[in-house]
Amino acid sequence: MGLRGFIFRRLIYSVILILLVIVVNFTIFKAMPGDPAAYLMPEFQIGMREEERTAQEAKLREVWGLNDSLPIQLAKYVRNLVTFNFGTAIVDKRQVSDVMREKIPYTILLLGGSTLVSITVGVLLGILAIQRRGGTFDTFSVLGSLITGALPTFWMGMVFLFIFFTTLGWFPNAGAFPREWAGGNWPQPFSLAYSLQPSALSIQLGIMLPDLLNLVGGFVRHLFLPLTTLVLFNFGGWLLLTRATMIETITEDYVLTARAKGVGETAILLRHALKNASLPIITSAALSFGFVLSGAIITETVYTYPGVGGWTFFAIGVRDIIVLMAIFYVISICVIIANIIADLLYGVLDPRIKIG
Amino acid sequence: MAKKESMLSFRLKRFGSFIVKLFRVWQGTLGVLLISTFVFLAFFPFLFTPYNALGQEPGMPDRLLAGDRAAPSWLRKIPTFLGGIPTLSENFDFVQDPSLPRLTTWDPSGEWMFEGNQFFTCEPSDLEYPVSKTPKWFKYSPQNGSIAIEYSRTASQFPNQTYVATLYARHEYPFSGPPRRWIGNIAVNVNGTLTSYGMLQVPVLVRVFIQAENGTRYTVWYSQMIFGGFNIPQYLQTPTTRALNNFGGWLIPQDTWESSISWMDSNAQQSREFEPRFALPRDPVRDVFKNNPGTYLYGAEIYVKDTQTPSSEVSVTVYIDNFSFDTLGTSWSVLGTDQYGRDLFSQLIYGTRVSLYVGATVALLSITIGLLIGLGSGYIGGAVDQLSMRINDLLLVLPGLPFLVVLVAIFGARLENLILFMGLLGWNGFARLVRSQTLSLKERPFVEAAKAAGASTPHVIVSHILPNVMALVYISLATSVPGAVTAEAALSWLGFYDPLRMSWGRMLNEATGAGALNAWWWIVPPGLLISILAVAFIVLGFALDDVLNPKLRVRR
Repeated sequence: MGLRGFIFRRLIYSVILILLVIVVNFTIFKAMPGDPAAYLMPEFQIGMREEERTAQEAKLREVWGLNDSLPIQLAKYVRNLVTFNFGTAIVDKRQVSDVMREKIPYTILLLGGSTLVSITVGVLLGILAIQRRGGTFDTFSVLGSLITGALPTFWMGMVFLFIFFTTLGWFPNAGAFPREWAGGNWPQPFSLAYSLQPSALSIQLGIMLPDLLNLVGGFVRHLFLPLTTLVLFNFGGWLLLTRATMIETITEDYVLTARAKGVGETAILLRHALKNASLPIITSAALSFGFVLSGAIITETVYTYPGVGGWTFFAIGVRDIIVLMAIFYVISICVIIANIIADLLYGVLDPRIKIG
Repeated sequence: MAKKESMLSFRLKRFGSFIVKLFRVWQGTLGVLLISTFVFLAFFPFLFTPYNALGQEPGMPDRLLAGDRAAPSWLRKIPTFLGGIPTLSENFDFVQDPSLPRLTTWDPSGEWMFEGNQFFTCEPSDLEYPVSKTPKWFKYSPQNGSIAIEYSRTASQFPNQTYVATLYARHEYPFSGPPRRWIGNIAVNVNGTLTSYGMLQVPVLVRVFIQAENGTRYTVWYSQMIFGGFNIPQYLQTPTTRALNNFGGWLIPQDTWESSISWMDSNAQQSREFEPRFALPRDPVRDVFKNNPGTYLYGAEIYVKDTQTPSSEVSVTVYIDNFSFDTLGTSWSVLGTDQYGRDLFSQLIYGTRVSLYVGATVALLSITIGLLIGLGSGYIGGAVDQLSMRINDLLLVLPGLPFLVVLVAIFGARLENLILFMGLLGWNGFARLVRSQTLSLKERPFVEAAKAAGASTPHVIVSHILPNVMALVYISLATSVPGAVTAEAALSWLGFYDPLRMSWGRMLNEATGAGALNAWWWIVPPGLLISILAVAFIVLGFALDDVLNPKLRVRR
């Protein structure tokens, strides 16, 4: 079985995994106490007579297929999810896929950006720590990254808000862009609901440079604190990973050989140690990019950032199971795809791995 | 027998040398010291604070310890450039002698003064407000007796007007800022000569006031017109004059009061005029306490409306008991109070319990599950391995925190639920670790030797594989605590907390809910303690790694 067979097997696994995720979703939301028809009832209908109510409920059951047997419900559920037909959100009555399309750019901006920055910072600091291993820098960077990783993100957010919003007033406390854009004379890329229309990021051509700077600046100012929080929380893991893998490689014999040959210390670090240590770093980077879409539920809630995480929290608060199912499903698929990519990278990058 | 004893002593010795080694690493010393401090706090919180886990006085959930959202009291004393706030006030009891007012007329050291014309007499009385009816939050111990203010005249002395007598005390308010709230109390009892209908011949009205010296006299509370009735003597309702910041109704400036005197004449139109002024737009406490520090007058005015019975001799006696007035300060104790006037320091100390409990039990649960699954799937292999590793994959794919939040939202935010879910979701990493270790151990010669000697699978796992993965168990036990602690805090902060327990995350949740982002004394300590606890376990894990994994030591 060559690489092709390996890929094939991974794909099969992944499909099974996706089905499993769907089943787990289905089971959890089926196990939820309370009658789904009660959740789905449109509004409070005061003064509704009992028979009217039961009639309406029966209708709802019919429409939502709640009368079917469990396997048929599951089958329908699988069919809908596989075709990305998530339905309408219970609370705000909008198409889940539409809302998701609004939220995802922000989450990619925040989470993608922070993952990128924290990987860069973490790996760089890890290399520096390895270079000075056993020294003060090594000790303090390891300890510091452990401590920032142990700080609760929501607390970090609150403290940052206290310092940079309440006291100094440098950064805003909520949203992804200045509030006035939502209702001002700005070329209206935004709806009032703090959400991004599909056309939002497509800035019209012919826009003036100051406007562009203003636009970018507005986004960056709102992005800065959440991004910093996430980076502080995450970079430590990358630092430790880099340090751990490079400590493995730097004690290998070929490094000794290189050193004996008279190769410079920097070249040894980068070309011999880092290159060989890069495999786990790259694969786990691929994995962590898979979780980008899940958003940062805590950070986005602290800073009221309009991404998927905040949406998840909102949906949990109002028990909007349809939204939650959709979010979980999409996240799981992203993670599974990231897993496949990580596996493939492993197979492609490491010449020692000859599958089969 | 001898063998067992030697085994025991061997184990003890090994444990001793392990401890010595652990303390030789500075991370180990730090971790053990910090963790034992937290354990001490968790077991003996009552040594540090007299209040309960929610920061209330035990058995008195209604009683405010201080004003809501009070700042730490030590902020009053430090200079302003260090962040001190000199305008904070502390709790202050205006009234020293609420039960039986000692009048200056018969006791020079007494605090109360009485003013009234020749028809009034003021004397101590044996009548007293029933102790059983005294509200729980009334902190003064009930004493015998009350004060009786009597109005009496003969038939020829009919004045045809309303007389006022005043019982008041003058108090020095020592703080340079206004209080947050006040709590006052008065019990009034009226007795007197009756008309043929069984009503009081002279109706009376009691008005409780607070006044900055030479300032406006504000009504704190007033009774309805007391006409008496069929069942006099009667006790009036005990007014719990809690001036809430959003409840300005108690405060009626003097001029309004005058119009309400005519309201007593049951003039309906004027009473309507009186209504709109009832709610003051401003904070009543700040309205009254303007010039601080300063002198304030607190007391009761007794209005006697003698206009109805010109021909007969009348007398009416007003008994006053439990007459108190306390202000609740804007500062309190070590860390101040939350928005319900509960002690934050006490919440902080008791929060240790929840965090440690969750951390320890989740670590135990997830490590146990991970160990069992890892050992099973590594050693037995086959279908068991496949199944457990696929579940493992599934857990890896599901987004951790959102999933946890959904579970807790569905099944309730009880702490036990939280622990169960975190334990059930958190085992996968450790199971993988144990599995790979077991896979390599399985091929070692000593396992083969054991197998060849006829050892059963359980025996091999328990006596040969397990001891070799125990190092991993200890290390992972330590390193999986911080995740559980921060996850619990995060869930609590999101609002999924156990309503019966106060945890650090819940403190931060309530701080957010109260909009107290600028109250750093409320925000900083819980997060700091979460971090310190997490760091303590991380460094302990490091030290354990150092001691138990000899391979690593060569590298450093």
